[in-house]
Amino acid sequence: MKSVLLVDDSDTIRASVSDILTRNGLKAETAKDGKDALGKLNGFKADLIITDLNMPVMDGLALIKEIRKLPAYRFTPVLMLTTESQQAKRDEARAAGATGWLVKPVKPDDLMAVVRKVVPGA
Amino acid sequence: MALDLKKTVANLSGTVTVQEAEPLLEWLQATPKGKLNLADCEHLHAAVLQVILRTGATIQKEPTDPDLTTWLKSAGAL
Amino acid sequence: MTSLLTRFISEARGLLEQASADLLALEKAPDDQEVLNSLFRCMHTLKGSSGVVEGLDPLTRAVHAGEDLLDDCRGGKLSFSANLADPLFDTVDLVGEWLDALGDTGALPDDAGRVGAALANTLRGLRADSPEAAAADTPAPVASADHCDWLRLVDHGVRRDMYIALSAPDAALIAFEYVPDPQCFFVGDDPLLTARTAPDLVWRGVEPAKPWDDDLAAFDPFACNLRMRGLGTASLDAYDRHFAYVINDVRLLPVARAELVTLDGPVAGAKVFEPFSEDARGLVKAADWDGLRAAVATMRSVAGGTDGFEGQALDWLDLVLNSGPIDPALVNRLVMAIATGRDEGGETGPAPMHPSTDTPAGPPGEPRPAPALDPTTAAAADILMAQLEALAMPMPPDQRLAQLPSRKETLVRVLTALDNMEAVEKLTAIVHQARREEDAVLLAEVARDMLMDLGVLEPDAETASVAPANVPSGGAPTARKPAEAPSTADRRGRSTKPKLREIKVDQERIDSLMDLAGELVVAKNALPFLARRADVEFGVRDLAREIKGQHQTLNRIVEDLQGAVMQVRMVPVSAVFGAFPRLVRDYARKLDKKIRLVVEGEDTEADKNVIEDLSDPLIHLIRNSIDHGLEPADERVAAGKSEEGTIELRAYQEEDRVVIEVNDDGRGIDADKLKAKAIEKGVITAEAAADLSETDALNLIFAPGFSTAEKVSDLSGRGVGMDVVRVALERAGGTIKVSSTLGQGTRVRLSLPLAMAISRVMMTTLADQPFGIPMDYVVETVRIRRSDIHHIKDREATVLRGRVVPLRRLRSLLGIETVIDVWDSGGVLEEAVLVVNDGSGHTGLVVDDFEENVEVILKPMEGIMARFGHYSGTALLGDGRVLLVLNLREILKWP
Repeated sequence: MKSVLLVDDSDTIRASVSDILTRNGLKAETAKDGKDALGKLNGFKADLIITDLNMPVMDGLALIKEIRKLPAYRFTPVLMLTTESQQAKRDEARAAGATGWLVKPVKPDDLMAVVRKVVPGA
Repeated sequence: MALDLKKTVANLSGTVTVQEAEPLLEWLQATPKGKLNLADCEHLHAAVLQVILRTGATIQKEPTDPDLTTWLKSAGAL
Repeated sequence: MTSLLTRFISEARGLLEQASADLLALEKAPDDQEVLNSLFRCMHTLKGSSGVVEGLDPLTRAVHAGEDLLDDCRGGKLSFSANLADPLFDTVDLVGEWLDALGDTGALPDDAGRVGAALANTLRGLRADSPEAAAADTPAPVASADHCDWLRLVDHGVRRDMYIALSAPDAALIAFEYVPDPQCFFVGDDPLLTARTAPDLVWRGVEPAKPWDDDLAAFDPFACNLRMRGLGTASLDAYDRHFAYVINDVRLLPVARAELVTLDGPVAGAKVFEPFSEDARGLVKAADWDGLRAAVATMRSVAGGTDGFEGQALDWLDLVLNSGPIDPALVNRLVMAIATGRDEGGETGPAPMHPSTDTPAGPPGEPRPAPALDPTTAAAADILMAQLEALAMPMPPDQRLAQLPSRKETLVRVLTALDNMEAVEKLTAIVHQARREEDAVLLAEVARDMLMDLGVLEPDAETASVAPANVPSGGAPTARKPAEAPSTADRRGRSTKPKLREIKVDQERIDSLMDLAGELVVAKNALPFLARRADVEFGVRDLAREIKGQHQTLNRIVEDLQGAVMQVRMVPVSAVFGAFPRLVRDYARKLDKKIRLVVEGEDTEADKNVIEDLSDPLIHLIRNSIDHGLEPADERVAAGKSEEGTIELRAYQEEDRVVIEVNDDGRGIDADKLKAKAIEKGVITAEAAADLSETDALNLIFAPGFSTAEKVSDLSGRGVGMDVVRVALERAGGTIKVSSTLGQGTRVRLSLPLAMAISRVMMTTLADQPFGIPMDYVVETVRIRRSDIHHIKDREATVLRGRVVPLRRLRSLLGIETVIDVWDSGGVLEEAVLVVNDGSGHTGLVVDDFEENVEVILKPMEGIMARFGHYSGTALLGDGRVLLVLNLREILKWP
């Protein structure tokens, strides 16, 4: 079973997105900010990380940079949650090591289509 | 186990990830006559594909997945 | 067309204009950041706006690519140069052309997806981080970036299947080529997974992007060195979305049917094909596809088999002739391939960028076969021809000048590619700067010479006399092109042709022009005040005279300007008349009457607003005629009339008014019946009715709530009568008159001002304050001796030319304190009287004094003032005072 780490400071988003993931046969772990996420990655092997950009403590960009420093996560796909208008942010995040993006609000079908595009066998 | 390295045969099964590219490359260098069994392989990461293409490794059993087979054939790996 | 689309088109045109100006400026000063920013913003806004409108994806994609490229320039990653200007000009041209199409048909041209994607690819290829960017400065084969050059890799069977599939309307075939960034694994990409999961693939392939390094030790498994390709049947949009994260590394190209046809294998060149190819060429020329089909079938039975070049061509011909719409250019290409053993249109030849289905190969009756050229030369000839055509396009001089450097650059590149260094030197020598108008001629000469050298152009060909602007527009070059496909230059050429047909202008812009013209009228009106002050206050009569002279001149110009603006707003009455035949037909059927509608003067023009205001009243009048005026057939026959009733709708211009008459040959209006009805309804007293003239009696139908129909039909009636029509017309400054002959018919005459924006008003003063009276009402101004005013009960009246004219004092009507002393003082006293006609007869308005009449723009009363019905509006006077304009119709109703 493929595992996803979902990082977002919003309880609602964490609940709704992980619900979609679990219902589609994925294992979902959540974290509420970047720092929390790095802690979770220690004892957990994620096949995909989905992270919000704006979060307290450690934001998404900083998290992506930290993730890429971890040997186990050099190649792991990381998707960021963005709003429609954040084209510049997307480029910046891609440069920092993000694989792609999801546009909020996330629709179940879109989410799974993107997940299958970056995680083989999902 | 996505990559199972035996004496003369490497079994690649399920999804072979990017992490497996280096071990496979090392095995193929150490085992020049080694053959690959892809019968149960569903997907290869592009890095693994590169290793197979670059080393010209012999594929003993082609994947049962027809799509993956087509990709490999197009690259002359089969 | 949706209003959103209309808005977008006019906004986009503005942006394109700005973009063109910026591009021209950038060519002169490539480092000007401000201009660069402005250009970037144009593309950015265009992208944003087009994204909101449905169906403009190709446009959005193209300008998006342009925006990205410009962003690289802004960020200093790329410096602006001629090789960037060209495709950006192309983008502007293309979008302009698409806007034309949008304006005409409401949709982008059919080939927009493919042309747009090709352009977007070219633009992307020039970006700073593009692998092609490094090579962009070298003399590149110009036509390379925008067609799929690897289709021969695709299995024959797949290509045949896809050819058949593409014969269906709406079928699409997209080719993708994906060369991932070498470092892409480190951002979590798995390019093979991305490629594999692309939707609806019918063919796929992968190979090393670059040959492997010989040294195995140098091989880095984590540096991606792959090139993935695929063909799929989903939409371009679907692939755009699928590859969104890596779109800069992906080329997406829609594939046209003809591109699927490739030929390889050994050329037999056998004699056996000769009679066939001769026959076939004749059949192609005659477009005798049945004949060709039969010939192909026979030939295949003799020399079938797909091994050789000719065999493949025959197989393709068989397929092409038997699936879907026949592409004559492709058929010709295949026939010529069999005849010559070379595939001129295939991938080895010049790129068929728009293998169109409607371009026949070569002009009809053209006997000369295409000169056989090697691929490089053929491509060069194509480019030269395109340049020649482009240079010959009529266009404004500065636009031509702006294009010269890039044209020269292109020629230099072609000459270099042909290894003709001698010509390069010559070109450089004669055209140092490419900054003069004559340089266009020189460039054209070089291009022509080269084409003649290549044997493509005959020395006596029409294009030999090429010179800017003296080539008939759209004149096709008589020379034969080496390939059948038109090049981009055709596209660019078309769009640079000046378009002298109609332009569509946003209503708001005309309105604002109108407002400005109106303000100018007012400003101009300040001059007579100034002249008077110069004379009276400062005593400089000469200056006053000069000012008056200037006023005259200005007056004339302003009048012309106003006229011109009015003209723009004029539309023919046919805009409203158009709906009436149907209306009459429907009502006639409903009431089972036979009615003939005669329409005259449809071309009569009036201001758009006037025409719009006419619509409802006219519908009402026509309904009235059908319902009340025209009798049923039997009644008509009994009255000795034809069975079929006639309604005549006439429009004509009378001085500065447009007059519309609605005439019918029905039963007419019975004035006595009208009066009886009016008395019954309490509209008028019996005594008053007795005094009414016939005409006045007829006017009773305009009284509020008056309906003459003996039975209320569901057409007219409904409690809304002619008073509604009257009010609507008066609001628009119009009048309505009815006349009727009992038993013979009724005539209703509407008269409206041709244009409404500017009104002439007579200025009067009351207690030192100006009041305006619309000139439409003013009959004359007279001064009447106090002694000539007669008192009848509490009313005053005077006699003018033997006619009794009731007098009303405007002061008391408006509640301004009446000045008594005028009345009591001795001597000969005169009253200033303005004789007006509000349609019900003459009335004398007693005012303090008259002033001149002026032209004003009447602005409706706003806010709380709008409730005062006795003012029709306000106007700003030349000296800054505000003029209240009276609504006489309302005021004169007061007791």
